[in-house]
Amino acid sequence: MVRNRLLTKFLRDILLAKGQILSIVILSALGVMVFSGLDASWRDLDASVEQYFVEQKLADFWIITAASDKNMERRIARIKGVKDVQSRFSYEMETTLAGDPKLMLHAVRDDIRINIPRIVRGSRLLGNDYKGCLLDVRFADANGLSPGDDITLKIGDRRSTFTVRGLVISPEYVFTSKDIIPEPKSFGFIYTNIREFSSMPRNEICVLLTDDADAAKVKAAIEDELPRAFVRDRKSHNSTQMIRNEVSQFSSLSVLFPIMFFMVSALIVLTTMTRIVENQRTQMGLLKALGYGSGSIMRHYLSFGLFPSMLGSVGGLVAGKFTLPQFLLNVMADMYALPEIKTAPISYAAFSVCVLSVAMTCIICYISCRRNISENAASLLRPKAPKAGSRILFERITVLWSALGFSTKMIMRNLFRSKVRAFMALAGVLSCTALIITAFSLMDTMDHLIDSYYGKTLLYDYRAELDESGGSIGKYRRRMDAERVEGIMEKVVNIRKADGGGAAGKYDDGRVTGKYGGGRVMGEYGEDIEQESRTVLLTVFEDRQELIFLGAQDNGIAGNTAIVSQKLAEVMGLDIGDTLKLKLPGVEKEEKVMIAGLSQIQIGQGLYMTESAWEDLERGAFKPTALLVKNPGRGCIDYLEGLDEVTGIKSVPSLKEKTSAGVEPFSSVAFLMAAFALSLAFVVLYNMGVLNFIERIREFATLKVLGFYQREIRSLIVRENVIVTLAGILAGVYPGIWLAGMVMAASEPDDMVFVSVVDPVSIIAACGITFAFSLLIQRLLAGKVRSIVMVEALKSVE
Amino acid sequence: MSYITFSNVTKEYRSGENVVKAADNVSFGIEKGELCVVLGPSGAGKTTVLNLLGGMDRATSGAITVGGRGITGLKENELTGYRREDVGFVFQFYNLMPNLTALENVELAQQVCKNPLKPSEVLEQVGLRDRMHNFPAQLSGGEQQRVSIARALCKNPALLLCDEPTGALDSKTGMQVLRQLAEVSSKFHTTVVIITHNALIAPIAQRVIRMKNGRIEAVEINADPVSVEEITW
Repeated sequence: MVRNRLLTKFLRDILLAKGQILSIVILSALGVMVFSGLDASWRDLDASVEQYFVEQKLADFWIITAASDKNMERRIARIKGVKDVQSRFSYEMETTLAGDPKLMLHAVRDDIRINIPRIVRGSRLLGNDYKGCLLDVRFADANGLSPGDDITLKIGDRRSTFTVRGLVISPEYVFTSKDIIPEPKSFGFIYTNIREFSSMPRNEICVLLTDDADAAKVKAAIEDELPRAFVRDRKSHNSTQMIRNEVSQFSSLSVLFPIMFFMVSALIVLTTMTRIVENQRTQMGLLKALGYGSGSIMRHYLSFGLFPSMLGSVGGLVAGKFTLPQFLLNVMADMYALPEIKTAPISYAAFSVCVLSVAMTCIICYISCRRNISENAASLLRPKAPKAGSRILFERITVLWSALGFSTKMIMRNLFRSKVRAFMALAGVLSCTALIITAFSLMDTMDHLIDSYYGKTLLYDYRAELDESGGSIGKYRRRMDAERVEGIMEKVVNIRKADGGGAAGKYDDGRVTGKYGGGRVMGEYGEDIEQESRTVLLTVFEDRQELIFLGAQDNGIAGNTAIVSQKLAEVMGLDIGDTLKLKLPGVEKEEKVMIAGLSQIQIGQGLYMTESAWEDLERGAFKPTALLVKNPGRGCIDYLEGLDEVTGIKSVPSLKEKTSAGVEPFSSVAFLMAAFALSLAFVVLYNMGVLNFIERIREFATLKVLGFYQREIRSLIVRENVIVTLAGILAGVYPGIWLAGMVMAASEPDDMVFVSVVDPVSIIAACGITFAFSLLIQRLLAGKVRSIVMVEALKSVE
Repeated sequence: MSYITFSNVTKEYRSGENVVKAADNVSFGIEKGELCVVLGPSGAGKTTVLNLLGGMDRATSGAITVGGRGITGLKENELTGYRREDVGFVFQFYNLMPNLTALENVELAQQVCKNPLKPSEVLEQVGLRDRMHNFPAQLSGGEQQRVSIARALCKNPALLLCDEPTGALDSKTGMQVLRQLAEVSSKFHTTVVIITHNALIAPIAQRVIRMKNGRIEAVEINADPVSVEEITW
């Protein structure tokens, strides 16, 4: 049997060039892994969340009314597209547990049919079980409660005790927080039967739609049917919106990062492949001379690209799919209460990227082979003339040039002689630096956001929540010993842009360029169709308020004016001078207000209004729902704690601390990014270093024969690479800052403004880490100097 | 004692079970200032002898001395120092740094030794005054070899080792190179060892060492060497 000797040659060649082959494997793997990992993360998350929502029947609308009755339910159920309706009593209550944690209570008649909690431990709550409850599993864990324990809720003087039947997660509480970060110890949710609260109104109606329902139409129909009610859809539902934002952040990152990785690995694969093929030039000629056809030679050399990149890409595809989602979803587990995430099969997108990666390598390989194969055998067999040295531009500056030492001159000329290699190494270092800067900026941005929100936006020290029994602001101010006390009134409202009017034209041409510009809004809703309403928080403050810094030019004191936070304005396509329609809960008629200013506020997007503007609307007196206190004197907080109407007091510094702790998981994501960046840098620098070394081994051997000490030769190599590394690091700073901005823009949720921040310390640290890492690689490379065999220098040029 | 002595030098290369004796019990001496040709067909062990003499390789057994100093026992660094200070090399394929000009190539050698000659003068001597600022790729083979000689000479070495210096050159340029080497030997009193398979070169040497199969076949003293102009191939 004739064995395929070309195959034998291929296998031996691979062994010989194992370093380069390995680097192709790793680079292909890295690029595909980052994509398949991020891609799988968001797809798995998205699929699991959607399935969870469907299975547990997450409501499509939450209608807030004064009180609902059977008749109301029936009227809604009749609307086309509505599948099910269930009303309930929802109320935030204090418990008798230590630290007065609060629970959001949802009391339902019979079985829960909409927003069905999923049991994690314990048993179900039966429709006729009047003393049982289902409790938020995180709240229970944080407060040491288990199924079988009792929990007591307080409403005013009333106490109601329930026995915990089951610990649950709920589709409407994927994200449970009154602030930015979940605090399961102090806030959670509870489901009970309504019997215990039969005297209370059913103030919330959950609505479930059929699969083919037109949500906007149903919403409008409900609003027509119940003009005084307040309809909140999934987009305005914080928990649902948060997790959906998370999914879209991941999906935009899953495009952004891999592109970066791909570009670098493509460049490196290109140089490596070219080099492998160049080294095989004479052998190619030999094969031709022996009578092998161009086709079989091409196939032979394509194998050098095909198999390693296939191995790497498929490995990366699988590794990314099965490691990254676990890691990232684990990081998110603190923020979100989700059911177990199911692993979906590998997506077409990830698979295509894998194929693309292999195809790219093969194309590169083909291009570098084609050049050689097209030559005839005789010319291939003649060795290619070595690359000539040449003068570089810098030498024209004789003064500087002659001041340089020899080794420096050699290094400079060599860098320019092998421009491509130097450029590749530079690109590798550049992207590594940029990626690490981006990773660090992720943390800087979070820190900055927290600092500026709690330090520059919220200028008070304490915030006390008041219930309906609270009095006028004057009453509190008189009795409180503090530098400043202000009252604010918060209301959840629906707003939409008023159609028609003078503002429309301006909006039409002026907003298209904006990030969330009119294009999207216009395209989706058209000019004539009324824009869908959005549920936001309206904050009414005193006319001369000082404790919340809005960063707006004008507080909008004049009648019927308001300030809109900038991000909200962007999302809704609003600008100063536009008119908003404002719907208050329990009020049938919409109010019209003009936007007087845009606020720079970063967290919590909403609408702001002064007391006078509010009173001009004639919808009741200004009655604070919270007191803001700056620099309280001794006794001031005690006084507040003693008041019945105060339902909670929060201190800004402790909020800030908790939030800082809450964004801690970001650091592991940053760490992951940095790790990927470093592995990229390692492969690139090592590979380029080895290539540089191999190509010049004759020169180094000659130097050795000429009596250069090992350390002298080593320094020649190291210094050259250090120059490239330094140049790469410097060149990477700006792209890093730019990439950080891109990443921040891609991961910005609708209710926050991320101002991408890169701390100079981060830049220095990123540069330092990259440099230290490069030095480490240099040490590895320098070790090779010892292995130079001088006799090589005497051999003929092959 | 001779300036260079090889006493019972053996060099074995092992590859697995096989042992190849590249140099088998080689003994000879070369006097200071001599022009010596080591002659033999390929595989005779000439290059092995040169490598051992130049401190590029270590003998398996036996002793080598240069100027009374044993080089067989030197440490790696001491060997480097020996190559740096005492030995000049001329290679068959010149081995110039492609990214340094002719002058810079010579200066490269000059910068690492203690008593160098002036590079530009040495280049003038080998007749390359006008090509000093050219890169190797811009020079002919003969010119490159002369740069390589200049690089070796500029170190002002006691010992000049040349491995097939004319091997890659045509006969005319080869003779120019040989003339240069002969001149070095007579003018500076440098010991020059030329390794070649070309027997026609032998008449210009004061000492001819013939090798075959790793052994010394004969050592001939030539009291009256002919000048380079009289030989031809």
